[in-house]
Amino acid sequence: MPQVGTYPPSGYALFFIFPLHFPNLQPTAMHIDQKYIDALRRNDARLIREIYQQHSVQILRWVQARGGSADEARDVFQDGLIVLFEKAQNDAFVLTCPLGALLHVICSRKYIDRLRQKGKDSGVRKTEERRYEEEQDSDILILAEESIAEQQKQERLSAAFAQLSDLCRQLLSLLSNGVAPREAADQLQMNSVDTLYRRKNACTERWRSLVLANA
Amino acid sequence: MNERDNTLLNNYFNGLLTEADAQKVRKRAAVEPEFAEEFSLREAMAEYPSRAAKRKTLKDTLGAVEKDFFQENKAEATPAGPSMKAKVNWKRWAAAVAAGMVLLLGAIWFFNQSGLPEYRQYAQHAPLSLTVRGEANQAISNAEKAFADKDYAGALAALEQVIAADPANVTAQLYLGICLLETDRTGEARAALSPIALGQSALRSEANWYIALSYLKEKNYNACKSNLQFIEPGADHYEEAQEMIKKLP
Repeated sequence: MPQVGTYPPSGYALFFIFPLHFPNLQPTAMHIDQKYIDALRRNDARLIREIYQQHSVQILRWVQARGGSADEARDVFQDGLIVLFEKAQNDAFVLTCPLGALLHVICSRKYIDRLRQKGKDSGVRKTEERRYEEEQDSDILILAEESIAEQQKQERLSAAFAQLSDLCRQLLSLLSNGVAPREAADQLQMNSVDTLYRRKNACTERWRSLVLANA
Repeated sequence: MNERDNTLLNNYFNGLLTEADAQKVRKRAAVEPEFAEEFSLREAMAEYPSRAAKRKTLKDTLGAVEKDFFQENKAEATPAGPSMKAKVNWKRWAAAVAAGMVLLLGAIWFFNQSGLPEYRQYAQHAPLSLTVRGEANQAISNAEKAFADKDYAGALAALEQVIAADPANVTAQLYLGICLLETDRTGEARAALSPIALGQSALRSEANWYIALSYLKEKNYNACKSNLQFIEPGADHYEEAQEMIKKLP
């Protein structure tokens, strides 16, 4: 199933059909850093430590050079890895550029967002953004934007999910984690699987309207 | 999104369509942009809770790893960096390796013993202690004594009397659930525990814990893990729950 994201309606419909006709079209080769994407998928602590060893100093220096603290650099680095985690949840995603380059763009965006939220000098921010983007490969910029968009989508889902009732959250969690509908119905003291699905539909509708209200 | 499509997507994600109809939905999602947008949102919603659990596990790992990095004023602080070569004290190094080997062998032995989590390892019950209320005194002391003697069938019968006299007694309801669990009536245990888990009392975490244990007893690891995730940080059994989640397949 091709990844169906939050693309604008016009013109992108063809993008979905294309892979069905040319499933083996791979314009660029997999980068050797793909193992780090797999590490984030699998929560492989050893390889995750390597990511820190290889890339954390660069991010630390970059943030400190812009007036940020080591704590902020650490948080921004973690944010960057979570963004990559979200992108990595698409099994079809293959890394075709160095991890460091992608991580750097993502982390710099995240740091700039923090400055924005703190209301820091927006003139500096815009200059930084423009200068930084001019230095980067456009494919990496696009990939970074897609990844951050995916993570922001997850944040919206999360914020809306937190507003659901306990029953809705339990019901949706049980089913998402692969618990059989019959077992979930029994645990939640619903008379039948029909009742469970009716309640699930209502919970989904509520969650959906919360997500769209905050979009 | 019209009502017909809404119902269609509900049925799709509830697994209620035939394969042929499900295929039609997927085809529409591949060619109709508005339908695709909604389909994509529903897919993300279906997957969200299990992804949230994975994300949390990853965040725990990141929290542990990052402690060794990002030291203020030490931009060179990479423990494995070439500029960090210090003089190696061989005796201390050898002692550390030996200690490490002992710990490693101990851990291997321990984990070979335990393997997958077993119900009995985790089923440690606090003694039953009910507030004396109304006319259930005899039933209460019978229940407390039977439970202390691990006579769960006896405690069950006594607790049913307590609850009959005092239906609002959440502690009695919880312990009824525990007795049902101990006497292998796992489905009924969940039925008794579920209202507490979904309620607002202080015992809700306890109830979630025992619901998870009921699935562990049945070796239903998916359901067990799912329920462990409802136990929040700071609540009863949170650390044990996290430990068990790591050991579950």
